Amino acid sequence: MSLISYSQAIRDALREEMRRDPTLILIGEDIGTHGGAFGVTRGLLAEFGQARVIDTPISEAAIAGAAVGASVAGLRPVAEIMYMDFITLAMDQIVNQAAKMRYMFGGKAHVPMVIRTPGGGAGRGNAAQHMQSLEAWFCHVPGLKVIMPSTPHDAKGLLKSAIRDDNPVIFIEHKLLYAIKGEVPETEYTIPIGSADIKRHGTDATVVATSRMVHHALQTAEALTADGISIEVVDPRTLVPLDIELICESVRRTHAAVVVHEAPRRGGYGAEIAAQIQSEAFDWLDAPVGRVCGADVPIPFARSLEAAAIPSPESIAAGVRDTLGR
Amino acid sequence: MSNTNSGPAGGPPTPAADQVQLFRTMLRIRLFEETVGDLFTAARLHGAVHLCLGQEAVAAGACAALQRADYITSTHRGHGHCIAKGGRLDLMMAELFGKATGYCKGKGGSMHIADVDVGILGANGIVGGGIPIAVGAALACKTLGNGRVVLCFFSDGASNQGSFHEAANLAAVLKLPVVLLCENNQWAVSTPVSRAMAISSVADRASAYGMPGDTADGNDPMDVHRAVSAAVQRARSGGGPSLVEAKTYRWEGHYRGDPQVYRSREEVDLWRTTRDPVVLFQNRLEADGLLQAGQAQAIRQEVGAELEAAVRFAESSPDPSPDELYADLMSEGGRQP
Amino acid sequence: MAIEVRMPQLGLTMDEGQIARWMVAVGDKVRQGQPLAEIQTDKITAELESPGEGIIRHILVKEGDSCAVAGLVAVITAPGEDYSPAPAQEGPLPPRAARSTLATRMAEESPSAAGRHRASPNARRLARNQGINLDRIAAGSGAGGRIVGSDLKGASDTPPAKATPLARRVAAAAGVDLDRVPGSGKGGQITREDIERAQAASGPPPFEVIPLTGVRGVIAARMADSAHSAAAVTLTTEADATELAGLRDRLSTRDAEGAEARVPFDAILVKLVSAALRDHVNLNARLIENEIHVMKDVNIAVAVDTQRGLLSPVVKRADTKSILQIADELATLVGRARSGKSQPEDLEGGTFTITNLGMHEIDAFTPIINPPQCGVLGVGRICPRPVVTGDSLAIRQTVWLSLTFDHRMVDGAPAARFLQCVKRFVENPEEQLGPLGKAAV
Repeated sequence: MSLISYSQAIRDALREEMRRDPTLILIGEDIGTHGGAFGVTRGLLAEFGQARVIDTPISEAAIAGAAVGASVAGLRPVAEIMYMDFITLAMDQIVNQAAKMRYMFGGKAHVPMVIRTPGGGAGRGNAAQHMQSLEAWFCHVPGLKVIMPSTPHDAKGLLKSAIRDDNPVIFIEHKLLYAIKGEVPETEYTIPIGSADIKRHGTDATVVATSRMVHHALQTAEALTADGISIEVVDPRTLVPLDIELICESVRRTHAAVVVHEAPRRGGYGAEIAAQIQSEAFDWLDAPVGRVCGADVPIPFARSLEAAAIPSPESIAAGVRDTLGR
Repeated sequence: MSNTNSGPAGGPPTPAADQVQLFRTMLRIRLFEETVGDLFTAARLHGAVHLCLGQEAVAAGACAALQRADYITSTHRGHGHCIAKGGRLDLMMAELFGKATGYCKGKGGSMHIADVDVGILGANGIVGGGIPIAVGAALACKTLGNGRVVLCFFSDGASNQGSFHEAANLAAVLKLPVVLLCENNQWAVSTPVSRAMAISSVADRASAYGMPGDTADGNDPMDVHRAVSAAVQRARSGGGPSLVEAKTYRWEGHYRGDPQVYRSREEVDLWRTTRDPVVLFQNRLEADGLLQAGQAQAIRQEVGAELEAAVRFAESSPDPSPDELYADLMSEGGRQP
Repeated sequence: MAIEVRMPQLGLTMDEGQIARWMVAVGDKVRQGQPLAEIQTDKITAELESPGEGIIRHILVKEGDSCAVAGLVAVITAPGEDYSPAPAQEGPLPPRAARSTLATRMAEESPSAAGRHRASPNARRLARNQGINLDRIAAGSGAGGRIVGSDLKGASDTPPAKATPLARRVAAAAGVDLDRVPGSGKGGQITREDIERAQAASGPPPFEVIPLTGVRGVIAARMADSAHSAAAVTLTTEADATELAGLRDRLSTRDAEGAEARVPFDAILVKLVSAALRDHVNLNARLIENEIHVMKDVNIAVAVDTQRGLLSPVVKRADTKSILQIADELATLVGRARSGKSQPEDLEGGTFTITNLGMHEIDAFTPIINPPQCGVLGVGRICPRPVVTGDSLAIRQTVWLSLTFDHRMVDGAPAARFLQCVKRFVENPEEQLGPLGKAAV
């Protein structure tokens, strides 16, 4: 095992896969010489050259569309959208083209591409157009897989699986997780897409959390033990396809569920998870499924407001207590 | 890079047999579109159809400059492009009827017909949606070094979309083997070209991206073939992308059933009666002795019979079964370790 | 502005009320104060008055259904007003703070709108599987008093499941009602053989079911509570009732038609007992938590047998009223109780209870205290009995008085002295208390 950063884990996944598979190319803005806006692709241009690490003009529609076209013509592209907020400029190519080509063409084509993009980031003061978590939009488009890893270990194993998968995958990283460190095996491994993970075992409530909120939930779990409340933290890791089986197995043991995500509450993916839990595990619930999510506002700039706009370990604890009635 | 099959840019005229083949392709497109139009009006087809009547020379002339392994991307008005690239009439017809035997198993319909095996990367329901895809396919061709080129059909309307500009720019920056062929049929739904852009030729935009631009008479398949061949040759030899504009005219409304309140009957009639590309080409071939007397009629009958068989095939084919709803959404495949 | 109509608090111990009958429908115009519905609690029936003027827009609790006090039962809007619930407040704050829509408030405040029990799906599942009657669980430990799975842990330990799982399946398949099957298994558990026996037997089931709910349920809970918490001691004494009977005759009146209206013995006893309590105030007390409250007013509750069960309307400050006033008041109170129309005030505030079983030929008994009161006086029948006077036997009208008191509050001797006092007053009412006739107070 080695202790490496989330950013390093992603870079290692890219490097390893590019060594294995000559059809793997990277395409995006400032990913070559600059090494990526967050330094994730540092060193890859030097190793693989300009033909495989392609710096583009600022043109998200072209980046995403080129990835679609390249993937149906024999390459395995990994495109980077610098900030998830900019993915709005690539929506047609992702939603109308990449997600639908295989189905619309009766199964004739496949689109083996990955779009990597960092979402979230409240805490850096990047303000409203540089901090969004837009995963719900892509979960809502049939034909896409959506992955949101929370640890270096999960990021590396899942990115490798995403690259090897023959379907279009939206791989959502988190800006404030790039620097966190975690244990990663030194030997080759992948993590299957669609497998959730229990990050901490508990008995009183199941907290389903995504991305950075996994870490907040773990902090909450620690704090609540002092009050005799034991929570189980479940990290879905893949949002589509969702491992509802593991989530419900947990809920059947704890009898209470709270879903936590950084994205705004209304229409967030937490609503889908909550609906599936109540549908599959209704008779085991002692309380309605709770949600602790971002505020339904654009993320404000001022530090105090920014902090109030997303869940914190305290607000997660309050949500858990509310659900348990304790 | 091997590129032995296409002739040099602006070189000796195409051999005789090719021109008759071109004529046959144009007739196939013409009769297919007329048949589809009639079927739709008779409510035997559902949804919407966007016919390319009057534009046959563009598809035929352009695709004649390609090899089978080359790719095309098409538009919502793509029946002609697919036929010219080698698409089968029966499978196309079955797809328009929404049958399980159609090109897309009935799941795509008119605007999403694709045959990846003959390089057709799909018609596209989004105006300008296929342009970045074409550029991406060209990126793959260059990276894989397989000598293929990509021909991207798009319309005058699409040339104003952001996707066109981004894709053209990227193609030029990366020097990709793509031919951007603007099929300027003068109308984008109800908007005439004169009101959609401040320049008079789409080809004028080429220099903005640092690529050569050329115009061709879109109603003369030979002129289209000339311009596209040059661009294909350039792309295949590593010279990067080109912009070609073929000026033609859209005979029908945007869709079959469009009341066309935005243009005059006289204008349409002028193009249909005096500038019919099929009639003009037939006349020329007959005058040059390349088409014998009665040969055109014979070809017409053959194509007619092929179409009748296609319609019979389509109508007698089964609808997709309900189990098909979730089929082919995701691929089960992937690279194994 | 929408006007919310909520279940009122009627009576200090009311937790929930049932809408017995709606007197208006959706779309009706209503005035402020207009009766909208009849509400039934376990003790009383009352009318729900409209809090405002407008049109009935929503009725949220159906006839026959119950909801908690302060629960939303209906919504009134102005004519033509476009009614929509308030937008929810979103935010990362605890979910409860963000839920401000009418629907969620309704769910929070009347969680039993869906059913009689405020129980979670998990609790219901466990109750089904283990044969636990959720009625047995008074309140749950979940949010808002919801019964949750862990609340059933104790309930299932004693007694064991009503029926074995196999018996349940067999009963369900055969359409046999488990309530009607006697169990021969351990602790009365119903087994498969019991089901088969029940199926083989024909004819009506051997018992009728009276659920322990409503008035009956409350009485059951109260009596059990009294029996288990009070240190009850009963003292008895026989009193000469000659003077008492005579007083009753003197106080009887004739109305306009010449029909005799007899003052009931209860009215006289209320007066006498209240006077005795004035001299023995420690019996006029209540035990609240760790405190004995010696009450300033003497409010005598009189046990009344009604169709729905035992009710005890209260004559307030009985010591300050004349017997005739008490008789009048008692007539009204008893009348309301017997017809199920008692008001909450009728039944509240009692400091001492009198219960008279003399009309049923009972001589003496051990009445049960009505908590949190200190004492209850049981009165037996007035009838001729042999008594010793001097050296000989005589026949006199006597009555047995049985006083049960709570030894936590009062000791035996003071209680005995009180009973002695009551006996004195019964045997010589006017000598002890002065004239008690019509004109007297």
